[in-house]
Amino acid sequence: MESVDLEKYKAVWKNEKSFDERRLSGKEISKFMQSSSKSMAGFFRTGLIMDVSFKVVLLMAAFVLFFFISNQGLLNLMNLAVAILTASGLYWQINSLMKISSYDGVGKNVLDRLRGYIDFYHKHYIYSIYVSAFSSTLFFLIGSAYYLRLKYREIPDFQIDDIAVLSIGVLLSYGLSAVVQLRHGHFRIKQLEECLVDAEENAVNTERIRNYRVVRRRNAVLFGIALIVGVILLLYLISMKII
Amino acid sequence: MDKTSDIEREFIERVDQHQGILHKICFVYAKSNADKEDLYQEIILQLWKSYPSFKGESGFSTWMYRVALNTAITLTKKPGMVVANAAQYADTFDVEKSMESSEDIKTLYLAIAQLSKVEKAIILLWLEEKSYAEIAETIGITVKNVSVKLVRTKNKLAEIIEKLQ
Repeated sequence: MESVDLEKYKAVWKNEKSFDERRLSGKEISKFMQSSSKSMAGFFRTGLIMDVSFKVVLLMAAFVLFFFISNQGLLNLMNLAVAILTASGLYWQINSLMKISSYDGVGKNVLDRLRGYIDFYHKHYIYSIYVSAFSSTLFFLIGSAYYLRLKYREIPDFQIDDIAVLSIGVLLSYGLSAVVQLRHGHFRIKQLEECLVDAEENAVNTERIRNYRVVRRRNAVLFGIALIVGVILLLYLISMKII
Repeated sequence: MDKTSDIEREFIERVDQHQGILHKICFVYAKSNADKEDLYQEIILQLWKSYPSFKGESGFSTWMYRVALNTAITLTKKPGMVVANAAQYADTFDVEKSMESSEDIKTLYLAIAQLSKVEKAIILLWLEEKSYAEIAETIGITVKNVSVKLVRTKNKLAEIIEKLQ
């Protein structure tokens, strides 16, 4: 039960003169119209564009590497695999980038926009983080190849300690990048999920968000397992001198 | 003068005439001066981006409320930028400077700051004397839900104000 007279505050609000002041000049409004967005759609777009640009640079570096190691057949094959993976990642991320605008409806009501952002995050962006984290691994691998080529004029055969260092590098570059990006994304999307739950308490969306969280955790575990299995397989192939 | 410039000029003029809406939304949602600047910027940018979709069926101010509230609610913080306690930011926002006229408005600001983003939207629209149907349309909930939420939010606001007094 209200013990404070809120109508009094309503009247105060209505008569508050400072709200009617024109504090922004036309020049400032014009400047703000040209600024870059800090919205969730802007966050998605910036993240994807930055990673797509990075991958394009990596792809070019991988092509240049072909000329440096043209006499090392197996390494060329590995380089080709890296280039194909990079190109596939690029294709997937550009596709996600094209989908952002269909989820970002400014003219919609508040709940529809919240749902749009949350759906985009869980259906596209979260997977893009796993693809994006792969850029760090590619950077590490391509960078290492360049370093070895420049230092030894060719990429030497790997010893067991080299393999260990490479594997740790792959794990760390992927893991750190994925964890940082996931934490950042979760932090921001959680704020929107809380708004949606607040607005639609006891509704279907609360259940949907709970499902999204379960899927999110399951995906993280699956990707972690896939990464570890991948590294073990790599170690095995290298130790058997298959690569 | 080309067509784009005409549209730009028309847009700036309209926003300039309705600056009160921007000030009110920033008053309710901004927690510091830096926040306020960001919010002004983001709202104007989003208004401009969605201006081509403004058909004029609803009035400009109704449309502006919708886009501005949408922007304020969905604008998220980066990690490490969340201020947990309203009292912490009460000093950083220049309430004293901009609200010299009334103690009550300062109390209202501090009380609203403790509401959730959705509650802030509902109270703001109630303070603006919008109908239940308009609130429901802006937020995207049913009229019945608006009535339940409004009662609950007003009670919460009253309790906070009582504690602040």
